Amino acid sequence: MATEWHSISEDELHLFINKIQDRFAGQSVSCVESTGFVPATGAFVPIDSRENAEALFLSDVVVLVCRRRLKSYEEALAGDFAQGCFVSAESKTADIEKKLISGVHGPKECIFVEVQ
Amino acid sequence: MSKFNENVFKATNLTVRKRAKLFRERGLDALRDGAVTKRKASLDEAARFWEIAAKRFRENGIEVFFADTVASANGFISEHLGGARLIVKGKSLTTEEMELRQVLEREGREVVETDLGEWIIQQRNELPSHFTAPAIHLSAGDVAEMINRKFGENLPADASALTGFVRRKLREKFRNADAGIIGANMVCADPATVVSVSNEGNVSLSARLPEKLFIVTGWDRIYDSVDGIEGVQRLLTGSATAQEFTSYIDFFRKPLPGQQVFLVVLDNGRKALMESSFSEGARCIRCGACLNICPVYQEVGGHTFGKVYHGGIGALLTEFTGRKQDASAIASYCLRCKSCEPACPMGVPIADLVAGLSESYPLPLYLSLPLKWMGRRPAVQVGRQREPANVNDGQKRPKVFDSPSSSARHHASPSFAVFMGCAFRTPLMKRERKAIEAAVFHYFPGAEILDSGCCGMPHYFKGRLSAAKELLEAIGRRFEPFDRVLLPCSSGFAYLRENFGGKIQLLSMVLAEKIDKINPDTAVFYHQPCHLKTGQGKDEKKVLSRVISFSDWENEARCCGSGGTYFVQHPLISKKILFRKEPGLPERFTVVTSCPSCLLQLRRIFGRERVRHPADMMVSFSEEGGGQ
Repeated sequence: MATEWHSISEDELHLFINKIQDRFAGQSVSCVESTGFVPATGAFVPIDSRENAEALFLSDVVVLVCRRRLKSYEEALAGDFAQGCFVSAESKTADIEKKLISGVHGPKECIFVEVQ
Repeated sequence: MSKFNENVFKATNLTVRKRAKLFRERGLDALRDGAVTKRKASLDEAARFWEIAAKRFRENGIEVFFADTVASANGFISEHLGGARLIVKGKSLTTEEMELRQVLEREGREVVETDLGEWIIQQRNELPSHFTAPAIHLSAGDVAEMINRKFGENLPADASALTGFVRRKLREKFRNADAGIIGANMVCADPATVVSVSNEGNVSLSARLPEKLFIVTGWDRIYDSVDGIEGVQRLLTGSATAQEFTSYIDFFRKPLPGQQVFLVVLDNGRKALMESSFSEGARCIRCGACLNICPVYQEVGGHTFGKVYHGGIGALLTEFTGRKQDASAIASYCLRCKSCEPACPMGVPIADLVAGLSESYPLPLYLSLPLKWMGRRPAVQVGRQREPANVNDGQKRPKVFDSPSSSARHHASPSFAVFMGCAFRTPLMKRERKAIEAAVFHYFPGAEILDSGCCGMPHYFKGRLSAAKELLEAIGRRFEPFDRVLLPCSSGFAYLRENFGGKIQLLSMVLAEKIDKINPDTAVFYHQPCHLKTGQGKDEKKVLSRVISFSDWENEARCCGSGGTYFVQHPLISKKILFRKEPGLPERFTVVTSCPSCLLQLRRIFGRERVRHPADMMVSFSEEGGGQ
C-alpha cells in the first residue's frame, strides 16, 4: 500500500514512528505535523520554509501526524499560513499508458497517523 | 504516419469509465450547480476580484503582473528571471499557449519540464496531446525507445522503470534550479490564495526549492473567495483524472523566507471571450473531460488538432487566444454530437458555441450546397394522409398492415401533427418513410403530416445561423395550431424540443405506448443517437423496451461517427469511429435507431437489413401490422 491510514494513541506515536523507520530501513523517512485532517481523505500541512517542503516532498516515506479533524480542507484555509498543501496520497503518476506508479518525484509511501 | 492512435483510445476510454464510477459513487454531480454558480459569479466580476487579489498578494509580498499579451508576459518573466540558468517548470497550458519554455530556451536557459508526461514530450519536441495527460498518445515502448536513444540507457518498456529513471534524473534539477515556474488552477481573491493541483509532487518541488517562483495563470482563473473552492476542485480533479482529490493540492499566499514570488496573469483574448456572446466558454476549467469523451479525440488524439487546445472547446479557446484559421481548422473536426456537454463539469454548451463560432468560418461547397438546397425548400408543407404503400418492397420482411385498424387505440385530435423532416424524404429513407406513414395512418388517424422541409439543425450546427433561424421561425408558425408535433428523427426532435419545448415529441416513444410487445426473429440492439444522450429523449430505450426486448450491447451509446455530414468532411475519422460499433454482435441481429443519419452510417458496416428505424421495426412486427 502506498497510502495507509492508522489510528493510535498519543503514547503509541513514538513507537509507531520507530516501527515505520525499521520497516523502511535504508530509505529516507520524514515525520510531518499536519494542522488538520479529513478522515480517510487527507491532511493539511502548512509550509513555511524550504526545509519544511523538502521533508514533505523529497523523502521516500512521509508520515503525516493528524490530530485535528476537519469536515473539509476549506476549514484549514481559514487559518493564516504562507503556503500549504493538502496531501491525500503519495506522489504518483499514470502518465505512461495509464499505469499507476508511486513515487514519481516525491514520497513513494504516505502514511497518515490519526492520533487520538 | 497514421493519424489514429490506439493508446489514446484505450487511455481515454479507461478514464471515462473511471470517471463515471467516481461520479456515481461519490455523487459529484450534486456539486455542479454550486460550482457553476460560483464560477459564473466570479467571472462576472473578474476585474473587481483581480483587483482585490492583486492588492492582497502585493501586501503579502508577491509581485503581481497583468499581461495583456503573450509577448508582455514572456517579457516580464524573462526580465525577472535575470541570470537564472536552470529553471524547473510544472505543467501549465497557459505557458504552452505562451510558448514560454521555447522563449526561455532561446535565451540560453535550461528549462526542464518536471511533470512526467511533459518531460517526455519535451524530449520528443512535441506539443502536449491532452490538457491533463500530455503524453497520452505514447506507449511505454515509445517512451523507452526515446530514453534509450537519447540518454544511452537500456530500459525496458515498463512504466515503473521509466518513471524511476526520470525521478533520478530530475532530483538534481529540483535541488539546483535557480527558478521555478508553475501554473495555477484557481486564484481566490479572499483570502488571496493560489491553488494548484497535482499528483507527482513536481509542482510542490518546483515551487518551493528554487529561490524564485513564477506562477503563471489566465485572467479567467479568478474566484471570489476560498469558500466553495473544494467543490470546484473535486469536480476538476474528478473530471480530469477520476480522482476526488489529487495527491497534492498546493496553496500559495506569501513567499517562503528568502523566496521571491511573481504572479503573472495573462489576458491574451480571455477578456474578449468573457465579454463576447461565447462567454460561457470562459467557464472551462481545462479538465479535459470533454476530450476523453469526444469520439474524434479518442481516435486521433490532440496532435491532429494542431495547437495547444483541442476538441470543440479547443476551437473556442483558440479563436480568442490564437489565430482564427487555426480555430476554424479545429472546429472542422467537431462532430457536433454533443457527447462532451454532459461531461463538462461547468456546463459549457460546447457544441452550441462551436456552432456559433462556425458562422464566420468558410464552408466547403460539398457542405454549403446541400444546406442551400435544404434551406430553399418551403419550411413545411402540409400533406394529406394517404393510403400507405406496402412497406415490403419485395424484401423478406414482415408485411405492414394496409388499412387503419378498428382497434387503433388513439384517435388523434385535429391539433396533432407529424413532422417528417428532411431526411425521410430522401430516396435512401424510402422504406422508413413508408413505415412511418403506415404507422401514422394506422395509429394516429386524423393527424396531419407536415410533409417537407428541414428543421434547420444542419444549418445551425454548421454555423449558418441566419438560415437556421429563418427555418425555425417558419416551422414555429406552422407548428402553432398543434398541441403536439411528433418527429421520427431523433436529431430534429432534440433540436426542436430545445426550441419549442414539450409539444415536440419523439414518434418512436409515442408509438411505443400503443403497440404490444413484438417478437422479432433476431437479437435486437439499441443504438443511442448522441443527441438523445440528454433531455427527454434519453429515455427512448426505456420506453421502447415496452415493445422491443433489447439485448445488451456495450457499444450502444458509442457514437457512430455520422454527425450528419461528418462522414463526407472527414471520411477516414468517421469510418474509424464507426468501426468501434462493430465488436460484440452475434451473427444475426438488428440494430434499432431513431436517427436517420446514424441509421445510414450504421448500414455501411451492418448492411441495410440489419439497421432499422424503431417505427419501422415496431410496425412491421406488430400483430396489427401483420407481423410474426
